[in-house]
Amino acid sequence: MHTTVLRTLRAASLFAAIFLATGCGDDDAVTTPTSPTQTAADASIVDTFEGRLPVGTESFYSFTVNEYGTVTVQFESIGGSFVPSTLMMGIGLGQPAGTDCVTTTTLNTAPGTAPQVTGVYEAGVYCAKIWDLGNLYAPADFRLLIAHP
Amino acid sequence: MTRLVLLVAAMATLAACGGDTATSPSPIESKTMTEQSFSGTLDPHGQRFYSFTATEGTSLIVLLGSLSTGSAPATSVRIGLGVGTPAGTGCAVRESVVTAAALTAQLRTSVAKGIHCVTVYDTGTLTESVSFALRFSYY
Repeated sequence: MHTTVLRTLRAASLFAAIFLATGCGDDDAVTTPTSPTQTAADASIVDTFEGRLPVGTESFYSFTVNEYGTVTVQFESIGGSFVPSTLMMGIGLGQPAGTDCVTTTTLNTAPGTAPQVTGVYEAGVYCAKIWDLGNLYAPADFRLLIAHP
Repeated sequence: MTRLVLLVAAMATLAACGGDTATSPSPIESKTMTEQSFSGTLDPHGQRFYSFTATEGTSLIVLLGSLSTGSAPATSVRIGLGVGTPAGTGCAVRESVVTAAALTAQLRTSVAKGIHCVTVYDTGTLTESVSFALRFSYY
């Protein structure tokens, strides 16, 4: 009798284990484990944004980040008549909205040889913006380098 | 005895599935239509655009309601009306029509979740600047 009960309990346990292992029904799809951390892709595409900025104005350039990754903006140069090459301007990164580029990161800076603004962003449409801080007395020719995945 | 134990095990196993508690039906989610307007001046050979964010894939309706020069309606003027993605210093057009102003939707399309733009542009026929007013709506 004792042996029979043990066998039966063993069989019952096996049945329960198999049933639970095959799932309760809702979780029908086998999911692939996801990586706990996302790796930021390199900024492999470089867009050049250049133009002439009238006194007291701003200008922006839109670009698409194709995957989660690093975006950098380098204010490379500024020039023109009566425009010093070391003039500080406002630069920023954000997203196009309406007729503007709404910036989330901004910096007042002079031109430099390395990116002044760096961030990691999800895939999507973004924009880089440059504006006169009130220092311009004549239209300025500017050049920004925008690197992104 | 054997049958009884198996029955109990089966019932316990089924009960363990859990998570299947009866729930009341959730209310139907109502979506709110977003309507925006964009107006300004379009110069010969020019383009103007307006960016917006669709929080999910949706249909988009664009209506160019008014074109005028000075205070007079420019009924014979036709311009480009398009939808696309902000790119560079403009709007990279994905779908467009050449149209005059009218109180009917000239462009109906669908857009994916993300940032898009509606744009008006001169197709090469403008000889002077025109004032425009358009409306667009999406869910």
